[in-house]
Amino acid sequence: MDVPANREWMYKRVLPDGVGLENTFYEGVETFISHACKLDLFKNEGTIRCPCVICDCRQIRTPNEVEDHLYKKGFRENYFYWTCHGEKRPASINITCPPPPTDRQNGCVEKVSSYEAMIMDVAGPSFAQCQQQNTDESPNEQTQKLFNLLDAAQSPLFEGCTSHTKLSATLQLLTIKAEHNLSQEAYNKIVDFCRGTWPSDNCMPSDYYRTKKLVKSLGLSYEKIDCCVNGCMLFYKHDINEKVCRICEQERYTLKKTRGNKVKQVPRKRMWYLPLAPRLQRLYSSPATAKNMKWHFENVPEEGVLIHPSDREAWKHFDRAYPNFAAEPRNVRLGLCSDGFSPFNMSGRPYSCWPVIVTPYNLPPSMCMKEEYMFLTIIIPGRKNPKAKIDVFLQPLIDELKLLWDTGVTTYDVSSSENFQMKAALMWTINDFPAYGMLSGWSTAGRLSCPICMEQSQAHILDNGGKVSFFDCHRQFLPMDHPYRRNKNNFKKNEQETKPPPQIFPGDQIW
Amino acid sequence: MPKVPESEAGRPADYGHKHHWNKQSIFWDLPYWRTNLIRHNLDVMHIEKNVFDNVFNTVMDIKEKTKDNVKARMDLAVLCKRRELELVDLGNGKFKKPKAQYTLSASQRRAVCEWVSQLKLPDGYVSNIRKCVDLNTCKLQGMKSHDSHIFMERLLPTAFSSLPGKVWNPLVELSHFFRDLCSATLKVDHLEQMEKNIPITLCKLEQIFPPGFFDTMEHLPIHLASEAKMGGPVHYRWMYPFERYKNNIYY
Repeated sequence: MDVPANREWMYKRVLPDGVGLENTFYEGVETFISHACKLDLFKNEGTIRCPCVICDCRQIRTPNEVEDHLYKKGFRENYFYWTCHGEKRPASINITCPPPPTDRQNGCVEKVSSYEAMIMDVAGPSFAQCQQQNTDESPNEQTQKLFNLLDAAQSPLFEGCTSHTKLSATLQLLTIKAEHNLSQEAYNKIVDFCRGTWPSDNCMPSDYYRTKKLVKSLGLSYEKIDCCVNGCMLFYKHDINEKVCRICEQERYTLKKTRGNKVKQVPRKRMWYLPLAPRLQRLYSSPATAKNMKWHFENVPEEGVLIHPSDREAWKHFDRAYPNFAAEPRNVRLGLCSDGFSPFNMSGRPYSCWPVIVTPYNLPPSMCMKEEYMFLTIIIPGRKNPKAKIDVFLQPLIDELKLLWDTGVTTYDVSSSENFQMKAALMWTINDFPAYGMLSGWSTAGRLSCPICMEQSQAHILDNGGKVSFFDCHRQFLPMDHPYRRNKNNFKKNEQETKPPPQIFPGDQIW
Repeated sequence: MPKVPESEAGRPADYGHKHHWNKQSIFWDLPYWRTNLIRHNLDVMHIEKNVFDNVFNTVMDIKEKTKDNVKARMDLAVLCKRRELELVDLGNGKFKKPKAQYTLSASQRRAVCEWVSQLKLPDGYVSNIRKCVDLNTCKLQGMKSHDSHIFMERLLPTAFSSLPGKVWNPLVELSHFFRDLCSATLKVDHLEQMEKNIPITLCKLEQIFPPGFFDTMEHLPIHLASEAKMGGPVHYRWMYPFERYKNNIYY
């Protein structure tokens, strides 16, 4: 659509750095308000129709409120001609304005190409070559799946459909399912209905099972690992064929009748593991993130100012200890978080599962710790808190981290178009105080609860309250000549403090 | 040391006396784990929230929640020289708990609640704290962690300004400590100063509040500044983003 010259300011609201508004926008809103104040509506009632995104010219408000709304939300879409405020669209524009269908087609082309780009991200560079060469030999299984996907991304939903392809329609419907927590049954019925309304030659997968089968080849899969009901061990690696827990001797399976009156073995408890390496590889195969993964290396920190963990001692110490790892800026540093989570309503039977989330620290501050870059890696099933047995469930992750540290995985970096051996290291864990005890092994309940002072802690148990108290534990952190240290009246009675602050042991002296 | 403890009864020898290890964590299997300077982070979000809850409930003298209860006063008589706070025997088998200078009087409590109930804060800065106030009981209910975060760092100095200076000053120092710690950009020299100041602040609080007030959460701030000096800004190492993530997968 043509934009009149004096209305260009309308959709340039926020300054490029995201903080504050453009001056032209302030002036523009003022002209808009003064224009609207000439209308009959204002003369009679003192109000204006609000053209902001939310009100959409349907609400009537005072000029001050309208001004506020416009600063906060901006104008509604394509409101270059203020038709709700007494203006008319110039007649000549209607002719030059492109007809809507073409417009939609343009959008469609863009969308389709973005879906194809997604498949290219999955496939990597070798696939693109394979596609160009058009060799006669039949492609292997993996490549065949990708070709099928690409086919789905290119074939229109039905003959003559320009707005959607098979893949785009499927993925959008799946998104709706996930966002609104639809059941499989509901999904199947919606698909059934849609297929009925479209021409009969449409190629939408007919139910949820087939949809999943199609989407599965996009990768980023998960594994289900059976575990002991009491959380003593995983049926994993060399224990994969065991039937009984080695420690508590509980059965692995329970018997369940299926519909056909057959009896089937069903595992009593299962954990979910979502492998980490493919998710990290995907960060490098997408142009949107690949170049940002080197930010921590390219950024030159200002002396004495901290804005990112890479500016600090813990990170630099790690670099000094492992120069080989630090030499490749594309190697990934990770943080791990675990926390209890009750998926069901509080009023029901208590159930707490423990998601384990891993996040990369290579990214710039504007991307780091954002939801898109948090990888849910393990779901530890409930019903109870795993407590110290959480380590059992971390085994697959630790095994993968060891692999990522020792050999790494070959990864295609799209920003420099080359393969490299990506390694990863876990920097630290993030957890609340009870989880600190579970992950570190130092129990954070009782008298020696401080995991940093450790056995040098001066905490004591109160005679009457029966609770742990850290009263009078902080004088030892003061300089040796501080007057508080000699004070016998205001702290514990008749006691002076002569001890130095507790020594913090480095990791190699702890175990 | 066992990798996975089998039961609570089978704890390692000397548990609770010389150490608190109940297992060797699986993370030590990682070859580089022992060289990491910070292996586990103290979570500033929960520490700040718990410290705020304890301070607020004690100063507002909220029944059942205050740390300044009868047992705390009995412990105080054992450990400290503070005659004016010890329980007074009234002679008929009853005891009186004298009012401490660190609690607010009923009218002052009401004034705080009324002030909060009229607060107007920027959009998106904090949830509507006005709705948390219960004017009948003079309590704040249903505050989210982030509300505690804002209250601790921004509102506490004003809210408790009616306290005597000796009590108010260390509380304000604590408030400023958390505010400086949570800022998006940290300065090394500033952090070193904070590392020196926080023991003094806590010592000042020890001279005011009874021993029962100082549970683990009041002790942990002493380690936060040095941890930030090693690990960088706290918003890369706290739970807020993960709690939000959890909130989004909740269905």
